[in-house]
This record gives sequence, C-alpha cells and structure tokens, in this order.
Amino acid sequence: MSMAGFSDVLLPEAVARGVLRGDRDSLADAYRVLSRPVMNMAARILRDRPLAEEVVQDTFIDLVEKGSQIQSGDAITAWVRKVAVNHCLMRLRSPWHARRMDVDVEEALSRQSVDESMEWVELVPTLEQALATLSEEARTVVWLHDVEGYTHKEIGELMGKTASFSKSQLARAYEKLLLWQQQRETKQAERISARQKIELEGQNAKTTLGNIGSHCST
Amino acid sequence: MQKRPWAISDLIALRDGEIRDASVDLDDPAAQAQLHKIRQLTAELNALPDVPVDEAIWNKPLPVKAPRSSWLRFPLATAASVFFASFVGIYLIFGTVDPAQEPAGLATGEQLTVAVASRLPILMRQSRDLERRLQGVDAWMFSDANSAVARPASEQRVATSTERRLMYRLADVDNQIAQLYDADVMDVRQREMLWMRRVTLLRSLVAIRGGSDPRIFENSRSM
Repeated sequence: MSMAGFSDVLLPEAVARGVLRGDRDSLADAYRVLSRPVMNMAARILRDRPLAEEVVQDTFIDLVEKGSQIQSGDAITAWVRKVAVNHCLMRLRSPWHARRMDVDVEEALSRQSVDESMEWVELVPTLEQALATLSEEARTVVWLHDVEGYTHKEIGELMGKTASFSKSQLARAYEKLLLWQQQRETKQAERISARQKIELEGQNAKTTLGNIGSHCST
Repeated sequence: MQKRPWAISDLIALRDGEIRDASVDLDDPAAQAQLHKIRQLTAELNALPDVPVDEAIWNKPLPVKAPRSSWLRFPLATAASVFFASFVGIYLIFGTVDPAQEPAGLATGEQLTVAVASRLPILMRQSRDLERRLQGVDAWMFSDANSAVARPASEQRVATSTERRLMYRLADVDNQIAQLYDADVMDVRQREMLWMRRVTLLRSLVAIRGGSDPRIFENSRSM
C-alpha cells in the first residue's frame, strides 16, 4: 500500500462539521483520517519516530483547542497540514535537535569501516536511507514540494527564506538522489548479469552432464 | 540561437510545468533520460510506505495548559516586590540597634520621627521574643500529664491573680494597638508608646513566671 499524503485523504463532511463544533468523537475520527499523512510527513522530515509522534500529538492538540476557529470544513485538512509543517520546522530549528543530530552524525561516522568505498558499492541504500543523507533543509524542501505540493514561494515563506533558496535546495537534493538512483541501477544490473551468468553456467553444466550421460549409455 | 544544456533545476521546473523555454533543447536524449529519472524518483517518493501511527497517541490524555501565574505575568513587579520584602526582612533582622545604645539627643522634631520609626521594629521584636519565651514556659508549666516534658503534678500551677491582671492589661494594650492600625491616620508616637507598654507587661509576666524557672528569668534579664 502506498503512502498517504494530505491530498490522498478525504475528511467526511459530517466529521468536518463535528470538528468545527469541537465534538470529541468527530475529532477522534479526524485523527484516524489525518494522523497518517501527518505521521508520514513528520517521520520523513525529522527522521526520528518519537519526535514525529510528538508532532502528531501536538498537531491534534492544536486541532482540539483551536479547531473551532477554522473557517470551514474544507479548510481543516490544509489547516492540519500547515500546523504539522510548523511543528516539524520548530523542532528542526530547536538548538537541542541540532546538537542531537551532530551527535548522531559523529556516531555514524565512528561506526564506518576502514574501506568505505567498498561498503558504498556493496550496500546500496534504500530511498529512505538516501533521503536521510540529505541535509534537513533539503529533505524538508523535497518533501514539501514533491509530496505535499507546496510551491517554492510557500516553502520559502514557511522556512523564512526565499523561493530561490527552495529551488536550489530541491535541485541539489535531486543531484544526490539521482546519483543514488544511478548506483542502484548499476547494482541491479550487476545482480541481473550475475544471475544470468549463474543460470547460463547451470544450463551448460546440465548440457555437459546430459552429453556425458548419453555418451556413457552408448 | 545556441541552445544551452539542461540543468537539474530546469528539468525539475519543466517537470512541474513552470518553464516552457524554447532555448532549451527538448530533443536532447540525455535530458529526456534525466527528466524520466526525475519523474521516476518523484513517483518513488510518493509511493513510500506509510509510517504506522500509534492509536495510543490520540488516547493519551491531553496536557492541560496551566494558567500562567500572575507572578510570571508581571516579572518586574514581582522582582520589585521580592526586593522590597527582602529589604524589609533584612532591616527587621539586622538593621536595628538596641535602644539602650542609641544616642540620647534624638527625641526632637524630625529626628524624633526617625527615632520612633527605628524603635518600633525593635520593640516588636522584643515583644515577639518575650511571647515565645512565655509560650515556652506555659507549654512546660501547664502541659498535660501525658506529655513527656510534663512536670510532676505537685509542681503544676495555675496563673496567679497578678499574672491574670497583667494578662488583662496586655489584652487591653493589644486592643488599642489593633484600633490604631485600623485608624486612617497612624500616630507613630502613640504606637511606640503602646508597644513599649506591651514589652514592659510581657517582661513583668516573664519575671513572675520565670520565678519558678530560673532559666526564663535569666533570659528575660539578659534582654
């Protein structure tokens, strides 16, 4: 099953009306519908499950407390998305988060083996891992632009930067992701050729054995 | 016109329908392949699996935002109050001198007000200390028989008529002091006079009660 983004979910009209009234059951239903895209976005941007869960909780606390201030039922999903994005960005900006990430990077570097080049060839990372290698800003821009559909102008405003900043971050991120994609394709091609080679050798061996068998019987 | 090569930012913009630039070579097979890869990556990003959400997050009790204390709402006022209270406290504890050590020529005009004002805290302190001593005596002398510090029944005693008279006078002085505090205009000289009378009465009580307890008597004399 593919991932749910905010554009993939639909809040039933009755639920939306209940949320505007502050009805507890409707809020619980809204949580069931909207928590998945919030979690997906927060987990991918923050790369930290407990922090992402915090974002989910804080977002829905805001919905419980301020849901009645939303203008209309149609605006609820967009409102939740914006609140969730702000919670993610707040966490990325916090000095505590920056320090923790520095520690994580140091730990990761200390775990690297001596022959790094060989490891990189052998272990082609998944797309999730490739995303993790991007800077936080680049990852946020990729996610907000390519998955959530924000424009560069909107992203610039959210991050307190310009639209050009968002564009350049996206381009740099794609340079890295395309490199990862190329390495993955190379690796897959190598595996395919290796498998074909094994299969061919197997067929050759069968043929040889068959020939030996027929020769012995004659 | 010479056509420039494709940059990744151009390809992304082309993917998003943001540019329709004739200067870029749309027939370039390398650019087409790169654009295809970019589209493929975008599709893969959107096809990543869901990160499971714990239903318990919703069931967690919502944190109740505690109303902000009025002390925190007005930090300057709070700081000023604390400073003032500390100043008064320090003054009451350390900033006073024994009346016996004061110079004699302070009792006129403005100096008198200063002297009275400075004497009042001393009298209040003395009054408080004497009361504590008396309470100590009472607790010891009139405690019930079950108490661990109780004296033998033969040594227990009731207040004498002199003591009772002193206590009535003390109550009367306390009443006058209370009335003085309630009055709109506070007469500092009258206050000082009443507090001095109170201290004198308390000393007399301590002296009488301390007659059966030498420690108390010694303490009251040393004040």
